[in-house]
Order: sequence, then C-alpha cells, then structure tokens
Amino acid sequence: MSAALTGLRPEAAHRPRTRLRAVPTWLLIAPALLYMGVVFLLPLANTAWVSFSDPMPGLHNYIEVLTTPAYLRIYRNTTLMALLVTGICIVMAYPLALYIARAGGAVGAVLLAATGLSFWISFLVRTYAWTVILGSRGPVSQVARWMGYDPPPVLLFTSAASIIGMTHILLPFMVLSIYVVLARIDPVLLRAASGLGATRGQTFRQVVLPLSMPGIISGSLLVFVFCLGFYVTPALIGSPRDLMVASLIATQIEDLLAFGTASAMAMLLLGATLLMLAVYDRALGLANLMK
Amino acid sequence: MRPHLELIDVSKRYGATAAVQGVSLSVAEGEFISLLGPSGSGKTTTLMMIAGFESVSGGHIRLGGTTVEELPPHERNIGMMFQNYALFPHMTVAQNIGFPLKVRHRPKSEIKAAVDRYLEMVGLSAHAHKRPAQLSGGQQQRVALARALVFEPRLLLLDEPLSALDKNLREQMQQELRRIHRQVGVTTIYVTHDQGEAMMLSDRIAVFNHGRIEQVGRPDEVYERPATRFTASFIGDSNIIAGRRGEAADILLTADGNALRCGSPLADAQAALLVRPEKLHVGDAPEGANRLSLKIGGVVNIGVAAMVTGSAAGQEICLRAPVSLLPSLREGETLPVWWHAADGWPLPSPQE
Repeated sequence: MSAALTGLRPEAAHRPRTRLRAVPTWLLIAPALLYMGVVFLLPLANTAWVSFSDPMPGLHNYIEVLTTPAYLRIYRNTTLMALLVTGICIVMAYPLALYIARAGGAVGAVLLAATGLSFWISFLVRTYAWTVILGSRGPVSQVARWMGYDPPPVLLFTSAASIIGMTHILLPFMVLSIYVVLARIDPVLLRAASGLGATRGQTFRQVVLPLSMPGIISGSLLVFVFCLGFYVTPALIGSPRDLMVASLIATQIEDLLAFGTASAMAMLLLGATLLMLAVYDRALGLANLMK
Repeated sequence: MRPHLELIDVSKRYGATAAVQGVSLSVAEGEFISLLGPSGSGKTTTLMMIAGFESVSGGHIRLGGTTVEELPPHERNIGMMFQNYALFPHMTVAQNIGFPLKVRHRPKSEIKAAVDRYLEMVGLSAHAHKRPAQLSGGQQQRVALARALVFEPRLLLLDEPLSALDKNLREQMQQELRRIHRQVGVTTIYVTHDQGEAMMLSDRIAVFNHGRIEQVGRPDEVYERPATRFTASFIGDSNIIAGRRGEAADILLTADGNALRCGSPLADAQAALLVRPEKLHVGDAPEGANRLSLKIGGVVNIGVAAMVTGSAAGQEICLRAPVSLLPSLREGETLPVWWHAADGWPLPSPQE
C-alpha cells in the first residue's frame, strides 16, 4: 500500500492485517506428489520388486513369460487387437472430426458435445449394453436370422466383440484428438491451396492430412496404449480363448496366485507402453501433446 | 485492344445488404491497378469474387475474353497473395513455391528449375530448405509472392499484402513489388486502404466507397482532378470549401461572402472547390488570385514545413508554410493566404 494512501487512513495502517505470504511452490504441489507417490509409485516399485524376487530372486519370472509360447501368443494377440482397434478408430474418427471442424457453429458444437457425452456414461454400463446387443437374442442376431442365417452367428464372447466394444469406448478419444488439430488449421490455407490450383482432393492430401498428422498420432497413441492394458471390456464380452494381457495377469493372480509371473507380465506391458511413448517422442515430441 | 480483365456490372449481396453494387472495370494486359478504399467499401469482396472465393450475385467477370464467374478458384489460374501470406507451415520454402506446379503435375525437373528461378527473383535462394516459421515477416511475404507467380498466372491478386509490415520494410517491399511487376509483366490487382501506397505503385487507381467505384484514373488524375468529394478527401490532404455557384459558372460564393474563382466551371448549383494544402501560399496575392484570411488554430513544425491549421470562409483549412515564417505564426492571429485560380478544382454537390 502506498504511503499516500496509508497517510489518508492512519487507522488502517496500524491495524494488523493478515496477508497471504508467498507459499513455496513445493508446498502447493506436495499433496499431489505425496498422493501419487503413495498410490502409484510405491505399488509400482513393489510390483517391480516382486517380479524379480517372487518366489525366489532372479530373472526366472521374465524368462518364463518370454519363453512360454502361450504367453507370447497372448502378447502378440493383444498387440494385434490394439493395432486393429487403433486402425478402425482412425478410419471412423477422421471423417467425423473433419466434419465437426468444418461445420463449426451450432452443428459443430452439438456434434462435439455428443462425442464428449459418451465420457459421462460409465464404460462398464456401455460394455454391458454390448452383451445385450451382441447376445444370442440381441438385435444383431435377429437381423442375421431374418436375413436367412440359421442358426445366426453370435458375436458375444468372441474377439470381434472385444474389438467392437473397445472401438466404441475409445473412438471419442480419437475424434477429439484429431478434431483439436483440425480446428487449429487456418482456413485461409485451404483457400490458398485452392487459389494456387489444387483440387479438393489435392488440398486434402497435401495440406489438411499432413497438418493433421500430429492429431492422428497422438490419438493413435492414446487408443493403442489404452487397448494394450484394456481389461474390463475384453473380459466381459471377449473370447475366453483369446485372452488379452490384462486378463492373463488377472488369471495369474486370482486363479494361480503366481504373483511373480503376474508382476513380470505387468512390467513387460509397462515396458511396451513406455516404448511406444519413446517412439512417439522421437517422432513428434511429447511436449507437443501438452499444447 | 481488348481488356484482359473485365468486371461487368458486378454485385455481391449478403441477404439484404449489398457489399458491392454494380462495379464495372476494365483492366489492360500487364496493367497494375489498385482497388483503394476504406474498410467495408467492397474492394476486398470484389477481389475475392475475381479470385473465385466469393460467388457473384449479379454481373459478369471476364478474363482473357472468357467468362470465369462460374469456375471454381483452382480452375481460374489466378495467383493470389493473402494478407497473412497463408504459407503452408509443414512445407519448406521450396515446397511452398513448388506447390502450384506440383498440383498441376508438372515434371520434377521443371518444378525445380522454376522454383530456383523464382527463389532468386525474390532473393531467397539461401533459404530454400527452411520452414516458413523460421523466416522473418518480409521473407515470408516474398515466399508468398514467388508462390503466387511461379505458375505464370493470368492475373496476380494482392490483398493488402504490406499491411502487416513495419514502415521501413513496407517501403522496401513496395520498391520490390514494382521491380518484380516490371520484370514479370503480369496483370496485377492490388487491394489497399493506404492511398500513398496506391499512388506509388499503380498505373491506375479505382477508388471504392460504399460498394461502388467512385472514380478510376491514373494516380495524378484522381489526386488533381477528383470526380467526387469522397475521392478528394480520401486521397491526400485536402481543403474543401463549400458554397454555391455564382453568376459566372467558375465563381464559387461562400456563405460569408467570398467570391472564389475555380480552374474550370462548377457543374452544380450547390458546389465546392478543392485546394490541396501545398497549393496555398502565405502573403500578398498576385493579380487574379483567390485570397482568404485564415484565423490560425494551430501550428506544428514537421521539419520540412510548418503545418498550419485554422479556419477561413467557415471551413477548416490546412496548409504548409515555409519554416522561416514560424516565428510570425501565432494562434488566434489572422494570416493572409492565396492560391492561383487554376489550382482550385471544382467538386460536385455532396451525394447521398
């Protein structure tokens, strides 16, 4: 407070005032750090420790996982499923994201809200919905029966059901990732391309698509990493024969009490995820994801 | 000779509001013409209709003898440089310049040769492999210009290209534009609200106001012989003295009883005359000259002259007096001013 002002109001100057001292930054972020440390880092460290020490110290858990063909098949299967879901998401999300970005205004806002709305509904609920839709008496089977398939194919408890369910749950992430990048493209660039002689197709391939690559890549990363560790949806509607890694880990713990093997599997899954992030970082820089 | 570009009674309406109303203009091959006017006067809309980014509500646009208003932009073969350059951020300078040729499926060797030639023309050969973001504003501008010219378009359109640059760079780019226009010879339409820029660059100027063209002419014509009061006041500094026509058609009678002679007859009964500040002189008038006494309102030394403002004959008047007179110029005093009758240009009655 300036001297002139305090001079005008002497009683105010003498009254002791509570003033917020500058709180050190570390104190402000301490609760979050502490929480993350206790609920995330400690268990992770514990998992890592168990993977090397249970039931006896050494690399035998990793050797077991990496030399058992059945386990490797599950890792390969999981990766393929994740790639497939990512691919389907890109193909389905891109046109919608492009449409929302172009439409703008009220239409764009409504579509964007509709896309985001799916985040409000628990994905457990949405997964259970698929058990009805894909079940033996569900609409999919009814339509197939009506078209002459008897007995109708049942999709529930197959890998196809897993893929449909995961695509459904992860699609909004892809739409939003791509939309954010598309919406930032200056429309003048599209005019310029057209004025310089580019057809609509050429403008899309040479200007829009390259400029939206960061969105496609960050969306793919998100979807792919989610898929690698997806548990609930494949466990509820997927094929019990084609397990995914997360279900495999659950089986190891719940049925076999093989904590060491399960921990090694989890660490390998984490390793695969980190590898993906490293590849992304080399290609585009993780910092761009934050922008 | 047939005009290269013809606008025939072109108009643009957005719902009930008319942005451009009945604009007609003929541009010769190789000409540099400016569309000059305040913002909202329809000049940019007219440019966008020529480029094909805006549809035409009425009238026709002919380029090289054929009607183009139905063609999409990419089939018009017109080079356009946007206000914010609109360079593709994911392409290098060379890729940006090569873009128009690439989408026309020209062979790689031809693209490279043309890109090199235009890079050299705009003096950016050393920056071919940089991204636009690594260049300064002036350099980005040159890339945009090279990109708009590289495919040898039938027409070059420039939409206020220099407005984002600072003054020094702007003047430098004006020189550059003149040089490149002389070198390439492409017919150029230049949109600007800066009358100095239009005067300096153009072969002819089309003055826009309220969606119409007020006047088309060489820079000296629109400056010395403006057709309307708007043109007179928009281009250059002006003193406009209103009154009514006297017995003799070249005499203007002001409200306070001055009789002023014009260089040519006044067309309307309610008329005005225009005298540019640099045509006003201070001191004793020679025989036959117009004279007024100016009540000095303010004096500013601008270095080359003293800018004097004040009132005479009920009008705001400004003039440039020699700096040597500065000590004798005081606010509130009266100053005798005069001008040759031939320097007074008659203006029509106000429109509306």
